[in-house]
Amino acid sequence: MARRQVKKKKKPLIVICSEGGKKSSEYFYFRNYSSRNLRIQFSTGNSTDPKGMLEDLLKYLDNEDIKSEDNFKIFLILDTDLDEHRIEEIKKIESECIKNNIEIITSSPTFEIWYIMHYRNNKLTFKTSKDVKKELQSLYSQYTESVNMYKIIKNSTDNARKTAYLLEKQIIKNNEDLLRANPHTNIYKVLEAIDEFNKEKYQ
Amino acid sequence: MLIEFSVKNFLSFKDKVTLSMEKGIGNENLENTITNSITDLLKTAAIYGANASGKSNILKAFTCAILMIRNSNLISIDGKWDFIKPFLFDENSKNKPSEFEFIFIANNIKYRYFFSADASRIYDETLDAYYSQKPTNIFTRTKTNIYEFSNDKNKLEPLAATNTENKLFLSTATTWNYDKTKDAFLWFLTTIDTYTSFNKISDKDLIDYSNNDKELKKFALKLLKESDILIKDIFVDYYEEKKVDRTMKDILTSSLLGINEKDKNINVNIELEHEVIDENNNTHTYKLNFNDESSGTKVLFALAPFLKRSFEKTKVIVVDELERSLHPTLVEFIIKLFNNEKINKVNSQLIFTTHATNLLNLEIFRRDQIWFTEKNPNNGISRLYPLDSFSIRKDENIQKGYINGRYGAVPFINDVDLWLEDK
Repeated sequence: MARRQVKKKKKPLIVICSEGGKKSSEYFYFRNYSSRNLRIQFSTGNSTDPKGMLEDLLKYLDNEDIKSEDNFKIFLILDTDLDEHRIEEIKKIESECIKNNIEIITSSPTFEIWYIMHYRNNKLTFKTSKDVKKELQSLYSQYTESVNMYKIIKNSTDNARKTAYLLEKQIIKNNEDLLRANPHTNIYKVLEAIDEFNKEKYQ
Repeated sequence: MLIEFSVKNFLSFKDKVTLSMEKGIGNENLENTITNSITDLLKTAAIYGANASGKSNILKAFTCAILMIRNSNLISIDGKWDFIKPFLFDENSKNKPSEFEFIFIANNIKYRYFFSADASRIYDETLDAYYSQKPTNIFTRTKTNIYEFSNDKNKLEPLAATNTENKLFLSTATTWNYDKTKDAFLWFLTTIDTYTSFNKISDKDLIDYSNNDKELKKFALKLLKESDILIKDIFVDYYEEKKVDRTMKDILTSSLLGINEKDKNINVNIELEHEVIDENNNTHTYKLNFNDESSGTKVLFALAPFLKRSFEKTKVIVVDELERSLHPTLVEFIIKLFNNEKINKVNSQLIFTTHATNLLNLEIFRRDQIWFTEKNPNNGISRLYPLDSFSIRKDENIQKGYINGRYGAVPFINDVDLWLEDK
């Protein structure tokens, strides 16, 4: 007789690298999407520049032995800060990211523009990241980076997804450089990956 | 030797789950396997899972089935097997019998033994023996009282007629000296055992220690030394003291009144001798009472006779939370003893539940030796599955993979501040 077994798929995993790791707004937002059947992990590291963050992420993936073939997604979430030097740096690491199966997610000027998109779909252009956060505080007075904004805005996420997607579509249609487009965010792509994993059954 | 154990509709296992000790594919860590003409087997298996995921229920399933087989002849005609409990969170299953199946090798013959039962009666029961590749059915029992025998009808039919609804026929037939059930029954009686802890030392082991069993003392001292516990010697005083001379009338009266009166007092004194070196380099020995020893030392003292027996005669040992009171490196050491062909010459098997993630290492275990239990939080059903049901690289860091939740069977715990938000 031979050992009988039913083949199973490993449970899915999303790894996110964002500036500030477990102290970043991205962490306090995306941890709400983690579940028994879908782990969302944040890589560790102190770098704030795109190249350094990618190095930290690759080191983390190696340490955690995340190189399995199936069922994972890795995102490097970066703010452009509307900074030309930073945008150039992001462009420089693109090919290394593709090679390592890492998807770059960018926001202009900053991740918090994603929160603003939950409130409206116009007047989204800001001059600095600070202005975005200031505006967010006027929309939700208790806002800080560590506040659980997910709870406050979750009912409007479909609207934000639509706004972000349409903005991106328009930028591409206009043949504009996405990284230099203000505003933009493709954070919605992380949610698409979460939706995709949650559709699967892991029993 | 155990090949497979399956259980269905027992505690959290609503659906059939199977723990297989058969070797899977892959030629890594071959010292962990047993080469056998019937089928190649594994010497050890570890079961991981979150709390309340069903790990201990596997042990309970083994224990329940073994106890029923061993005690079938002792149960009264209206007696109930109270410890047999079906999956209760389902209207259908809660009224159905639990099912147990063992596939094992006894005296070089492969057997398959299956029975289904609830607290009051046995429903189905089958014993097949593999004298060749094809099974020979020794007996089949259905609907509690319908028996079929392909051989020895003259011998077995009268036994079946006297068997009660709550007794297993395997036990009854063996009690009446039927030779073809004997080896299978004896396997349940003497080879397979379950343990929930090693906190208690049996009287038999104490007697062995007190009789100055030099081999046992030597083994225990070596085990303690390997565990970095320096004990120089072991002294055990064990004596039984008769309480009073009881007459036959006393005995009958107490038994009629249902009083379980022991007529012996057991006195035990255990001391362990420690050797210490003072600042002037002089050696001194001191005796310490067993009660004052650390819990780890006590467990090792209880574990020593059990390990020694396992390496002398083929056993199948099922242990719940092997690491209880033991340092993780010591648990690893015990597993290595079982996997070592020079020490475990008789091919005893060790199956244990554990939380010790340090053992999740493909240098210690093969991919087919690691098992997981996971309970579905929605319906309360536990599942059991092995690591080799996933595609696992030979060099994969399975400890990281397990902690990262890639194989399931880990608790899902949120950040502490989300607890505060839930207030």
